[in-house]
Amino acid sequence: MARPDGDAGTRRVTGPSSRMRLIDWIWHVRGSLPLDPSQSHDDVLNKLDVLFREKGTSRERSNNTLVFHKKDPLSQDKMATFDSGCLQIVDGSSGSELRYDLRSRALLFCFLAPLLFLAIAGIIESSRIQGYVFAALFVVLYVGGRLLEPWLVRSLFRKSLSGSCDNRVSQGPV
Amino acid sequence: MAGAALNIGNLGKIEVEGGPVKQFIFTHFQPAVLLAMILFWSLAPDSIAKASVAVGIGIAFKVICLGLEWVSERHASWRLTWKELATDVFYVAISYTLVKFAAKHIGSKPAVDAIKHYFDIHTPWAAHMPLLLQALLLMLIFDFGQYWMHRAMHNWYPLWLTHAPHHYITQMNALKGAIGNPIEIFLIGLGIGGFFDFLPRAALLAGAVSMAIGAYTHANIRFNTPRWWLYLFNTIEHHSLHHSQDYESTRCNYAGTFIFIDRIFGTCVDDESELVGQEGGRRMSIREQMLYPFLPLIDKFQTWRDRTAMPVPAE
Repeated sequence: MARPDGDAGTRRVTGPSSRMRLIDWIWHVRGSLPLDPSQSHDDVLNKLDVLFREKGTSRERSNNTLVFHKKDPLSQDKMATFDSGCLQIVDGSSGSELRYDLRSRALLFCFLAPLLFLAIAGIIESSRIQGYVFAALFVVLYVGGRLLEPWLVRSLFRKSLSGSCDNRVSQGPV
Repeated sequence: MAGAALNIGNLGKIEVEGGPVKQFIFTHFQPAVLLAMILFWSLAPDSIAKASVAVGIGIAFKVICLGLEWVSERHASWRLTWKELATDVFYVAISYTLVKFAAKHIGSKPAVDAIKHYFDIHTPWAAHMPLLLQALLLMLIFDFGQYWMHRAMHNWYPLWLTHAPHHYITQMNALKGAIGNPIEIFLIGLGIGGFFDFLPRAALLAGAVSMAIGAYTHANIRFNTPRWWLYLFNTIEHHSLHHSQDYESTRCNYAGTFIFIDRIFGTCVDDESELVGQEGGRRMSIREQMLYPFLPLIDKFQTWRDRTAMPVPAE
């Protein structure tokens, strides 16, 4: 599927090596959305651009690609789960589509957290039960996040492209 | 109405939205839970009134509070997300494992036990007082100590370094009380109640009552809180102001449970804030939260290393 590399102007959402692909699905969210043929590349990116006008977010745009990076995003940022990523418009035989590849350290953290608490359960006798319980809880959190976040971000992109996205909460309190 | 005479400043502006049933529930929920806790821990047989049951009730109550955030949300800008929940659970897990382990071995309890043993201190009279009075005294002793520790954290830089990470939360949720550097969580848990030989049941009752009052102080729940409750106890209203973005406004409402301690010492401000955090609402990563108390030392080390690594100009 998709993987961003290089600067925005030359970056492509290209496929990773098969070995890497076996591993990086842990913290990568990839997907694609069909685009309305009446919309120009600029229209599409302008609509998505609104999502990245948040505190701690930097972004670069070329004619068909948007690349973003986030540092300590606010909790209220609707894209806060993802630290960086690439969104690219690709023209195919059946029309244009938006392909995206997003990276999440939060997903990776949740994936690795059970190891930490299993280690604590093994080392500290008095924390054995708590260690196992929290290790299990993080497995549940990871599975939940891995299913929920791709669905939410796809829905967010779809709503942004259709112009029905409500950004009021992401702006935070006023 | 007797409560109307209590001066609670700007509090009580945000009210529960919804029908009569929801209004009734979110008006009486807090006092009802408090009464239920007092009755349960006063009357339950010894076979049930155990520490493990208290832990179970504590966890269940946290889950209930997270649920109430969905039913009667205080601010949409504080709505819990998956990432926030995962972060909060991580800190709760650290509190239940590493911090608990440290408290057991180097906390106030082993220190107090050692001092009592060394000076042969015994207070059997404490256990002969009414159970509710024992629990109340335990809570007052702990909260009084916590008040001064918390106040010191806001007024003495070395302690502020440990406490500051907790103030970098950018929204309030039921588990946010656990967020912070583990050193701070350890320090804020110190107490001298162990000098008195109160009944174990009194400690369980005190813990349950503290939970029934303090569980909402970080929660994104909208209640029609009674005026007498706002006058006596710490609430999300008081504590959200304590978390507000301008540093001066954070220097108030220090008590964990009894806001009247702040009233006595002139540090209570009856107001609230939706905008919370520090540095304009910058969210601190877990890595930075863990390193924050050591940043001045790390900076000094890096300055020293850079200076020693500088090439000496040729003469």
